[in-house]
Amino acid sequence: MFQNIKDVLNFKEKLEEEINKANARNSVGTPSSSFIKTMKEDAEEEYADDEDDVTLLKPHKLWLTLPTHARHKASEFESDLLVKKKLFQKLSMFGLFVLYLLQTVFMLVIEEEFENSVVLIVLRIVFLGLLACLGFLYKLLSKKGMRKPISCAIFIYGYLVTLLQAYWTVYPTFHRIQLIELMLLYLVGTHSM
Amino acid sequence: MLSFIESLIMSGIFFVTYGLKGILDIQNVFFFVLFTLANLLHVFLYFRMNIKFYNSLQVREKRRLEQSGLVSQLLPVHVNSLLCFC
Repeated sequence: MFQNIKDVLNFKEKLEEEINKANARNSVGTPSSSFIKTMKEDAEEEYADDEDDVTLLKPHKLWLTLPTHARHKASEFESDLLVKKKLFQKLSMFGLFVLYLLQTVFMLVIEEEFENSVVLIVLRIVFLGLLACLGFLYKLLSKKGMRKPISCAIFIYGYLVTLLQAYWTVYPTFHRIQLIELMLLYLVGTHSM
Repeated sequence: MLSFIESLIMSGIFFVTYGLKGILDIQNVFFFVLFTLANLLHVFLYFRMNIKFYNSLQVREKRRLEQSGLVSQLLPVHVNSLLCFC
């Protein structure tokens, strides 16, 4: 019986030794800084592999122009961007249209404050028509790939009309109001492309 | 790029018309230049952010496809069709 108890105690001691050894091994295996570094490098390499497979867009650092060899991806990106911006663009163009219309009506009331008021009003009405056409034919122009140059041309025409208005005004501080109008036009113009 | 060209043309027209009229004072020029630069910077950052967003979406889509491919290989066909791992 004593012999049995002695065997059990020996076995217990051996077990404790084994457990201690296993614990020591585990404590050696805690992640060190070098281990974390290699793990990070591996992850980065994996991401780099992904980048190679997917052929991501890499634009020019300053001008953000997209490369010609990734033309398909670039057009895909542009259509994606267009879908995201569609509502904003339509709303901003509508807002601009309403503002311009209101100011044209206001100009008709104070006609005598401008040198060539008839020419200015006609130019503004033409701009309003062009803006409305751009809003209605937005989808068609996007499909044909003509949206950017046409909207750019229309907005440049708008800048010209607004600045001519400041040039032909008789009222001394009207050019400040024109400057604010110009900046609003520029804001919509650059964000709608 | 097009926004930059547009702003250059607009600046040209502004300086010519305001210069000819004689109303090119410091207030007008300061307001014009500040607003133009701020707007250009905003367009630049917005476009760059969109490109980054698009790229990360592409990588995520590729990984999703890889994962669904692996899962469909590991599971038996009837489980695959039941759980819709397409």
